[in-house]
Amino acid sequence: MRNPLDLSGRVVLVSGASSGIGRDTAILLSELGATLVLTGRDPGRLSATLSELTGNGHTVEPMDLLEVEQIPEWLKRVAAKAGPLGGLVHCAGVQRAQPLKILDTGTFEGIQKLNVTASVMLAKGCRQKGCCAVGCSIVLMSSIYGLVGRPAAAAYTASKAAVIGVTRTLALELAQQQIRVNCIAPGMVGTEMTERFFRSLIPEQVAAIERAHPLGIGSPRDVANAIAFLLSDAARWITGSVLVVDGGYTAQ
Amino acid sequence: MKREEVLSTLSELLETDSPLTGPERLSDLANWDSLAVISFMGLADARFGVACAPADINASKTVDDLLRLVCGATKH
Repeated sequence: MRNPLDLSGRVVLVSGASSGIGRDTAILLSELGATLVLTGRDPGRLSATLSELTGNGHTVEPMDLLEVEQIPEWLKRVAAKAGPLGGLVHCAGVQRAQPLKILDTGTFEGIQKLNVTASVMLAKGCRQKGCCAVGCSIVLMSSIYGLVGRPAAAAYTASKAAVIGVTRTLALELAQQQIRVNCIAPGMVGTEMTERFFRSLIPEQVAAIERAHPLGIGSPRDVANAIAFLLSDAARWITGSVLVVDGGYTAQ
Repeated sequence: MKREEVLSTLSELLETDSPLTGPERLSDLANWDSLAVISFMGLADARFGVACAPADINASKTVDDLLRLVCGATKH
């Protein structure tokens, strides 16, 4: 029987592939047959992920996605080298605990830039002529905090709620080109970024977050599996959706 | 002087009616709560380049204890 999640012959670009969900997603997608283009800021760390991939033909294309204006042209060059994209996953993201009292506009706007603006510019790049293959699937990263609030996270929640709005709009806008756009809303997942975030919280707050996940804190693979599904032809009739992968956090 | 700057930062953060001087007990300060802890950590990092551990802040009993975290051994 053919694996419904088979990604053979698909070129898939993964941002944030140096660590966490991005790295694990790249590893899983390579196991499913995809040819990966890994992007992020640090060529050394991307090469480390590259060495963990299954199969041949994968490449590293370092890019600082905060340089949002340059994303479409950059993506055109990437697609010219790697081939039209059959999938794009924007895992690069940033979060910082910042109560309203100390919230500054620089931090607020910086978080929107990587989490939201880069998402839109990647999609803009992907839709260009010759950049995407038939049946291309874009997966953006929202969060449970795009659906519910959390104290000290105004900038992050704004960005993740915006990703949901962007997902729905782009799904409609790109449907004619047969490009699907969906997002994942993960709960708390054990990654390097989460560990850094937990270090900025007091122990009671960390314990409360852990207790709020009925199935416990997730692993990067839990999210990578959902991303693989949305990329695959098994999800060919799914666009504009928010796939919640949160161990039951938002079921309460 | 760094000590004065930290005291001023803390007074501003907690919106105290009168400037803090050091011996005040944190439990007596109305606005000292979990969000203030996160805010203090953020300000210590942004303004003074000091990364305070949440556990150390939690263990602090007085304003002077917080000053010691940011300034090292403070002198009165």
